[in-house]
Amino acid sequence: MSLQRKTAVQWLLLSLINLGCIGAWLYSPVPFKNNSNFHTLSQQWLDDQSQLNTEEYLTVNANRMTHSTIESLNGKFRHATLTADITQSGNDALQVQVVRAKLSQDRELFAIEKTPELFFRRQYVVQEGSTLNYSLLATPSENTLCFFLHEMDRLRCMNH
Amino acid sequence: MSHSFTLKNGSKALFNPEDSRLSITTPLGEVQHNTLGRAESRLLDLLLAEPGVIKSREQIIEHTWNDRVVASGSLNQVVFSLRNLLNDSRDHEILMTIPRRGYRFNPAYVSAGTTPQIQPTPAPVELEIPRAPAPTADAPAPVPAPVEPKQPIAWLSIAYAVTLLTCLATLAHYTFSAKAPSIEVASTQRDQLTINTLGSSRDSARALYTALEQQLQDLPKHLIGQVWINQSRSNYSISCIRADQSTRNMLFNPQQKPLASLLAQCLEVTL
Repeated sequence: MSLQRKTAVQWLLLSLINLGCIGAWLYSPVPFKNNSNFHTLSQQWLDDQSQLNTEEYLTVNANRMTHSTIESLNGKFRHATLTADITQSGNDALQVQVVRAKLSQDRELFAIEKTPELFFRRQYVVQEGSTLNYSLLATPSENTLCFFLHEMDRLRCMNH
Repeated sequence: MSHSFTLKNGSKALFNPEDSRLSITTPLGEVQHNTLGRAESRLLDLLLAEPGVIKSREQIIEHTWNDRVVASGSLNQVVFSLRNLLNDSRDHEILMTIPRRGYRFNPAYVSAGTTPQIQPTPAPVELEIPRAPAPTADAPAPVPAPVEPKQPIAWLSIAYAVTLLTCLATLAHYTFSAKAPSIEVASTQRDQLTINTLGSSRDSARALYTALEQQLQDLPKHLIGQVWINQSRSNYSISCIRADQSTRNMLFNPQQKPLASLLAQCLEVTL
């Protein structure tokens, strides 16, 4: 085989490999191609038997997610909004980086010092630049989303 | 005077007629020294003295063999050998045959001016001129248009590097799910209710279900939907998808609240 033919074959193979890789990128599964909105309600029973109610909204697309939370306890409210860029995504996992965290007030509604683990986790999550890892759990329909947030040890199911 | 020119694979060649030394530098920087035979050296010197000018067979024989009587195939043999050395044996783009007129050196491959001498290596490789194959130097062929010398090897190296990076990026993209922190789920079906327990491993997820099994016996039979249960230290968190696709989440200490009643509350649709 002449040098020219060998070179041509190499170019052809390299082109095919590159096309294959680019195709794999373009057609790789993206969990949220368009904006999707989910919401849910949560209840947490504290040590003093009081009930912390939480309403959560999640807007997510292929590049960014925004998670808003309103907590209420004994008639007092506190809300927080977390915006994060999706840095990696797969069929059953999502990795995001926090770009902005907005809290209506720094003071927690309950005595969080009694649960230092939760305090430190919340401190991590509201730091800009923090990396958060979500495991997506299989649900029976696209109207629902269940995930486990590793950094918060938090399990959530949400619906449209 | 030395002659410098380019080969089709991008190599640089420097020919010194005084010692018949042809040095070829590849695009990767490797230098190969060859000592040409007398006839090959004189032929190359003649053609490179005036690149692009056609030299007739008679002129070449006169210059190369000093008017000695040589067999008609000798010139063909020398041209054939030289083309092999210049990697020009296939398309004759460098050492061109001009039908019925003679030969010329393609000026497109000649570098402007003379190139500084390449440092000789201690052990130069002596040229072995192939003799066995039949010469084809006189085969009539269409005159190819002069082309600009290219450097396919250098571009190919860049293409290999780009391909490697593309493949690595694709691999990293697809192995993300495998590298990401994971949580295992063990599922159990009870009538129309699916109970999923979570754990760091499949075994721990099953162990959690086993630990809760007795409490789950108290669950009402009519419950419909899916529930996920996770244990974090002394607390349980439960997440439910109800029959109407609405969701609820609860976090509690099982010492304070019984699991079965909270599961029922989690799954029951409020009217």
